[in-house]
Amino acid sequence: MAALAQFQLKAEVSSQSIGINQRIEVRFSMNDDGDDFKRPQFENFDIVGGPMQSLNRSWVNGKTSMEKSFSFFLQPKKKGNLVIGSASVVFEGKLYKSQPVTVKVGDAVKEEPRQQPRNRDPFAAFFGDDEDDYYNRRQQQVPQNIGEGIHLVAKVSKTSAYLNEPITIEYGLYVSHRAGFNSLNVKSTPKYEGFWNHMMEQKQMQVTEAKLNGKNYRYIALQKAVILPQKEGTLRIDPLELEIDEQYFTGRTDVFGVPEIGIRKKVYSSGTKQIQVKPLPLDNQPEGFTGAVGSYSFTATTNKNAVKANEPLELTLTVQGKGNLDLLTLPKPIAPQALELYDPEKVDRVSKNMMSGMEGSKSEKYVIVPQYKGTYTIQPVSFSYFDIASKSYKTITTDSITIEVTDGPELPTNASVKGGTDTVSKLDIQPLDKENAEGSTAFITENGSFYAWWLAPLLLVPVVYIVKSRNDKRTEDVAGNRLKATGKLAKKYLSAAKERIGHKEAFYEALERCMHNYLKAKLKIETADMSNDTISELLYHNQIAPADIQLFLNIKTTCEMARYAQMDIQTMQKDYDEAAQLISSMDKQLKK
Amino acid sequence: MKQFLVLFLSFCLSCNLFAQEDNAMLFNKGIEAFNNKDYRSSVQIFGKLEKADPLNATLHYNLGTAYLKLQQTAPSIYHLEKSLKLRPGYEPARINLNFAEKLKTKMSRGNLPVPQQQMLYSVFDFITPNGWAYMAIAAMMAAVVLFCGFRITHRAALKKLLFALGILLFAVSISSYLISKNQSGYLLTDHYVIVKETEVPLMSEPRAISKIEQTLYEGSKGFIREETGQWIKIQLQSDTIGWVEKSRVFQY
Repeated sequence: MAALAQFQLKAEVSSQSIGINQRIEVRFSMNDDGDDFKRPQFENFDIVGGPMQSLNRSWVNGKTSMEKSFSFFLQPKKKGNLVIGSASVVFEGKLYKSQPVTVKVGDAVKEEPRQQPRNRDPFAAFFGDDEDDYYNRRQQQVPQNIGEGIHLVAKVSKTSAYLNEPITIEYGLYVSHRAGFNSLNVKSTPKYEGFWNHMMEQKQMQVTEAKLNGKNYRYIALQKAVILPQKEGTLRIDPLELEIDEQYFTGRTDVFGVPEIGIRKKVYSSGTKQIQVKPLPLDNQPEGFTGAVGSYSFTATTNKNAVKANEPLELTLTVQGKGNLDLLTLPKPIAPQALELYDPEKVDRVSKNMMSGMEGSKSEKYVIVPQYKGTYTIQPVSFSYFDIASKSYKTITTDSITIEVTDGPELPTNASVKGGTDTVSKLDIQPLDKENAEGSTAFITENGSFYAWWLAPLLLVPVVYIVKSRNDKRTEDVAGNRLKATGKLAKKYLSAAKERIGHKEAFYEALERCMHNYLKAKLKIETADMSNDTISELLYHNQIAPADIQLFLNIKTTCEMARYAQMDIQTMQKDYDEAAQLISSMDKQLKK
Repeated sequence: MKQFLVLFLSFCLSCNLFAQEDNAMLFNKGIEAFNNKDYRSSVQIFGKLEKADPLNATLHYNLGTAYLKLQQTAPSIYHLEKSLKLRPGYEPARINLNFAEKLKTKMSRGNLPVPQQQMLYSVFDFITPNGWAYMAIAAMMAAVVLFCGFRITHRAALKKLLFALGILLFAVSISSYLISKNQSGYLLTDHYVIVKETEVPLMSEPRAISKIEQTLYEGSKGFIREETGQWIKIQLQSDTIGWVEKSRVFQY
């Protein structure tokens, strides 16, 4: 039971620090029978051997002990402090993990070459000590050309480039005529961090003659790539590392005097390359710039310009030239909605070569299906790129494309719905209105003078009223006095008659007497002279109007007649009023 | 002094006449450019005239039609709509607006709210706003004359008649003024927006950094709900409500 509690999974390495060309053994051991062992990923290593499983059981003094282990032989992929992750195992339903282990991987350590077993000279025993001397002598005769004849070189087209500018890189192996190798093994390939890369496929390795530092070599191009920097700053390209089974002279000769050739592994590195990446200038960067770098031409074409509705036509946008064709995006054309624009079909004809990086054309083919009749315009499309040669941005704008849809249904729009008549929409675009009808520059109600004009007349009302009442007061004085005088006169002279209204005979008698009294009072005449002629003459002399004279005589006659004739009561009031009027009228004339 | 005044007045009048003659010449030039298919200069000329006379339906119509020929969606729709607002039932404008709507890259369906003033406007549109204003002045003058007559006359029947007529004319004057105010107010306030740029974000709040409700495309219409310094709250045909920057839309 105690063993249970102490269940452990340990990770052990054969060495804490190794050279990149060396191998390491990792052993995961546990002290009980755990199941479901899971090894770590070993990202930075190649598994050269393993897993090797071993199981140990011992029984000592009645106590069982057990050890189970898994071993791996690993080859590091790169230098540095590499971590071997933890392995896991399940024991009694519980998951156990080992501690991660760090291994320091340094530069390649010069290893003793694995020599082929020495061909023991069967006669060596006879020559005894002479043997070693013999070999030593031969070693001096054979040229020591180890490692001289093979060079791994990386050739970069540019060491300084703009963002997205294609760079070509070629790794090649120079092998001198005097050197040779049996096989080569790629140990690490460049990762091209910060680059977009495209490996060029090679159909077959071709050996060509080439010169390096003035000497003739056989040359094999190993890897060619087009890379586009995606980040600005100084970017490093990791070296290509090759493990080559190299042929070398051991320095000995065989029995026939031929120099003995040994095989040994050697790691070659192309060395780290640095590329200075310049950012694209930010000023003057055109709108709609999507990162195209190179030199291009841009076209937008349609295969037809006049179609019927629902008849498809193709709109092709093409970018042609040199540069980062694989990475650029074509601008999207903007078309009216009545033209149904389908997603484009992309046609890339890009060839990569060592001369220019990338070259070719990239096009997008849009299928357009017009839905409604009319004339439509596809807006001009602009394509911007950074021209490396002139180090400036360039924009190519296509002409707008007009598409005539000759036949088909009308486009239903809100405007036509509003109007309610569909016949209207069948017409063509209406010409301009040639009559510049209204010159309504502004609303007069917004202008202060409108209010002056509008409200000023109102001021006239009080003015008129004041003037009128002042005027009235003056005229009213005259009229009022007259009225008052008439009343007074009538009261003074006609009161007797007024009392008797209703009693015919008495009233007329009183009225006649009243009139006589008035004349007597005003004209100072005697009663005896009260004949019509005298009165009219008298009144005429006093410059009374003839009408009034006549009226006076009429009233007098009425009074005389009324005393004897039958008369209506209504006329009494009228006669009284007439008399009053007459008196006041005469009074006015007499006063003059 | 009097001579000087007369001289000054005649000078003003002649200036005005010259300006009008100039405008008429420009107007004809604009039409000529349009007929010669030089739509760009036609747009320039009518644009200049329209600036000086922003409430002229004809100028808006001609400008909108020239823009239509240039296939410029937003200005074309804006000017034709404005023309229709200034002169409802202007048939050529409606036809051309129909063509302009076809230029839009994105079609939207649905109706926008109608401003309340528009109802009254269409009822009283048989007389121009200025016509109503002149009518208000005329009715007011007549009413005043009648009131004065009422005060002056002595005949009771005539007095009654004059008074009644005076009150009636006074009421007519007041209501003519109110109608004129409504008509001009309707024409002067902006009720709708039209998106000017190809793509304009509709924000959920009147700030440059806020949630984007929707993207509006050139020529889309919206009904103005509210306004702040640089932002307008609009309602779309889909009833979505959001804010757009003033500088990126036309208002009419």
